[in-house]
Amino acid sequence: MDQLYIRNVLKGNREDFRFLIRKYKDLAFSVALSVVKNEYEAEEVVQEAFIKAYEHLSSFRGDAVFKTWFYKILVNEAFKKVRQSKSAPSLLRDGMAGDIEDADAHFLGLDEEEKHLLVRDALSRMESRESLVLQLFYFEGEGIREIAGITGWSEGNVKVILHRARKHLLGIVGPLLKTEFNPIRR
Amino acid sequence: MKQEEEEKLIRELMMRSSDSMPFVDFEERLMSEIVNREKSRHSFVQSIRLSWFFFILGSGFGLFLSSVASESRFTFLGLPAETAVLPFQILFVLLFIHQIEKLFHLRKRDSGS
Repeated sequence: MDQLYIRNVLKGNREDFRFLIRKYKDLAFSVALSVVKNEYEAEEVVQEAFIKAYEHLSSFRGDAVFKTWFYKILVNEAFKKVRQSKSAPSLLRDGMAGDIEDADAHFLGLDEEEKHLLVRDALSRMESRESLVLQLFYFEGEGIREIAGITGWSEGNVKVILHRARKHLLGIVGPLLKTEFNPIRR
Repeated sequence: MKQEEEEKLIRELMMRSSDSMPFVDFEERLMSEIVNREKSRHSFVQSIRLSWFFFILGSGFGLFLSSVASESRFTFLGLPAETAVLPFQILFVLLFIHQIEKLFHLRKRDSGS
């Protein structure tokens, strides 16, 4: 379906680009937010990525997947924004895997909104590369090779980052579930 | 906690990691930004074309004047025409190099954007 709209845009039907915006803006926002950790900056990143995609649409090869091509632009813009930001996102490296005893049970005790807030809180405390890889691997369902293609990192590097990210996520979620998000304490 | 349980918890957590674009007017702002950039790009391309046109016109005119002046028989402050126009010819060459460098720089910027 994307190809049809891309062809239309290339023919000069600018308005058909709205289809791609509507389809990918939420996913793109989640990915951008996992890198820049700030809603306003994430919006700027997504906007700039869409504009770049529009301006370079003619260089998009029809046999490729638009989503992967667009994500490359998006991730590039997101890390550019991180480099431009004067203050790097503050990272909290809480305990490691040892802190996650009973985490599963506590997690199940939360309602959906709280679960979402917990995950966003945890991701916002992680290093950009780690939260991005988690987002792409678990939520977007991208494979290691695709993530390597999107980010420009080697497959080995992606695997290492993913491994570290899993440990750090659990290390952050564990203490959070015992304190701020503990359903028993509230 | 076993590895499978960890993996299961991570999957459960990450399934809830999505966020919707919170800015409702995002699409409209983005489309109007695209229109604005297209307009400014269009006028940028027009300006470059005009610059090339006047550059070529000016260069041709300068070459013509320079050759006519050096072949004429007038004298200026006692100097023959060939010597009198030399500073202007040097100035012309310097201007020519300066302008063509600027135009190529703009062209490179245009193809890179």
